[in-house]
Amino acid sequence: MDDYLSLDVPQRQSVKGIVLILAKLIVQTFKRFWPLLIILFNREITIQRLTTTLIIILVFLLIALIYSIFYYRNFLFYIDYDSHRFILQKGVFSSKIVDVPFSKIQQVDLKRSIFQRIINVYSVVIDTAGSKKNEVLIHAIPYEKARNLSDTLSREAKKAVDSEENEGVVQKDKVWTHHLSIFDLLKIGITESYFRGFLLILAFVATTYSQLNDYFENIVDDYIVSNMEYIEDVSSDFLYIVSFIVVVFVLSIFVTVARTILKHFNLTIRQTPKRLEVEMGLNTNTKVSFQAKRLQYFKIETNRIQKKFNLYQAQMSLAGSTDEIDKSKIIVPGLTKTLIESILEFLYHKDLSKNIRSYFPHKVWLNKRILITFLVLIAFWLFSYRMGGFLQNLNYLIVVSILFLVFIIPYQVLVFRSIKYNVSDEFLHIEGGLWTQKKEIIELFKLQGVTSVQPLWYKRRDVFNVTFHTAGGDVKLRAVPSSFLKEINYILYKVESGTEPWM
Amino acid sequence: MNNSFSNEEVDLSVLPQFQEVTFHPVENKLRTKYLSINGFLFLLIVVGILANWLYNESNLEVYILCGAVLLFVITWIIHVVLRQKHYGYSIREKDIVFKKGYFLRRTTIVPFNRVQHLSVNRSFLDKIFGIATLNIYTAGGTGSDVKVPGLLPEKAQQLNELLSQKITSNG
Repeated sequence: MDDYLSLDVPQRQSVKGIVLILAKLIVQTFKRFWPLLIILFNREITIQRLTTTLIIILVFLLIALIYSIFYYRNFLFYIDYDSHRFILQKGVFSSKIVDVPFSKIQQVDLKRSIFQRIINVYSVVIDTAGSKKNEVLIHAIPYEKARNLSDTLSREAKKAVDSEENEGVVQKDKVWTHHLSIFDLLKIGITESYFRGFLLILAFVATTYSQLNDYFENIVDDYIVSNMEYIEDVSSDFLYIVSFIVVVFVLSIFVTVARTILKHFNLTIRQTPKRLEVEMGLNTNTKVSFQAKRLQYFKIETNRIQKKFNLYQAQMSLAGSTDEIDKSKIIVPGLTKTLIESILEFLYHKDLSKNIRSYFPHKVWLNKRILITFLVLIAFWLFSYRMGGFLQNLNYLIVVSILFLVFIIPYQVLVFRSIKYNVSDEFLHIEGGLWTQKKEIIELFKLQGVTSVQPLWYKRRDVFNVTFHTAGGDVKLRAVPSSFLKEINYILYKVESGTEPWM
Repeated sequence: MNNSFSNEEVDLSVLPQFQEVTFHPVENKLRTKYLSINGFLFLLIVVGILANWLYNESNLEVYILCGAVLLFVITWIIHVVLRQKHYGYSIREKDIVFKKGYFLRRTTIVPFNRVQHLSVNRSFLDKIFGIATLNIYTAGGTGSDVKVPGLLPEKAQQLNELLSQKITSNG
């Protein structure tokens, strides 16, 4: 019995696993090739065709069976107690050796489908925070052994983690609650709408247009009647478009408000001595409670109008196992500035901007954005040319193009100037945005990895794109100057010299 | 934890520079593998054109298709040849640095104390050409996972052992 349960020698799963592998193979093949069957059955059925089909299916089943047997034979797993890890090998034509250290095991699950119930086996899934889902999955193990494997791994994982765990950070004994009323939500919903900015631009364009129209009317005497009709045509078209846009605008506000209320109804945020708790939602009730150390990424967002009303939105991304992905991004709107500050204080207990050093993106990025603007304009001209009536519309086109450039280019320049990359002793902050203003905050030691990409055409200017990977998502810094590279070395130093657990 | 807490300022200029490490190249067999795939595609095009010509139907669409595939294959071959010597990995005391790419020169650095698990993979073609891929998984999503291709199988296994020890000792 002891021998049967021992896990330290390479071993196979239950022989019944062959059936499961075969079944999986058949289902997968069917999923991929079922349209072929329809073609087959659509044609006239003759004895000859039927036998051919049958033979093909039989041959396939035979091959699948042989494959399953080989898959079963090559599928080996064991626990290496000496080096504290779980090892799994698999593959028929290809081969794969997966190596999981005990300390990285998040959880071990026993699962059972109806089919597995019938043949009386369990599947064991070993979960790490690593990205590939279901990578470490054993299909068929009898109960005792599955139990033993999962218990052993859970125990070893706990042991490994306990030996690393530091004592927790001392928390302040301050508790507060914040609640959002329907009125607050209404306010958020209305101010959140991106179309508001659009309407302002539209109003500007409309006044400019009417002034231009007046101007044209003054010189209209010089034109023949048909041309005048044409101008009237345009203005009625224009009215039609304006009213259409207004309707869309009102509708969009309504939708945003409704969505905000549904999603964040009865939003309550509460800080207990050790945890932050968020509860909200009308139809789907979200309730999250987490410790500060699980936080990986923090984003504050507001727009110019919301800023006037002291309304800020916070996004908190947490690390967690794969089954709660939807809960790992928490978006909380309607926070005041002081509230944001107290949340940050609870989450970090550290000076966010000690020894702050600022970097700005290189001009090549702005040039690229302006180039894209011109490409859009050229596409617009080509489109108008294809639509016909090009020459009659020429004035109109020129006016639109100039307006477009007058707005977009300063907009691009201002957006570009607003972007700032800051590194302080413990944090990375990224700020930017003209209408919607964002600030992203990441604690340096929570980073999982760094990627720098230098396109060939950035080489001459010595500019890079840098991506910081966290367990709560990636943050991309575009066109950073090479002077930023020393900060990457500093950040790596922070990650590698730190002993605090990142989750 | 201990009372002798110190916190002197870090001099940025004396920290180890990731951009100045020396990289180990990967096997040229990786390039051979990709070139063989291209060669196979090239053969298909030749067969396509020949068949088209032999059956004397001179179907213009087939020629266009072959031309498009040919263009794709040629670009790919150039890409494969150019990028070969830009693959490189370097194992430092506390992290792994991996670079790749010719047009987009990408360097990824993963600290060992953030690695979740490892795996050594060999596809069917890898077995034919005698190479293996070392995969290093982190919790940072696919962006920070490092896949080092074109390693000799024993080398991959050796690196796997080495990293495995480093992960456990670094927590």
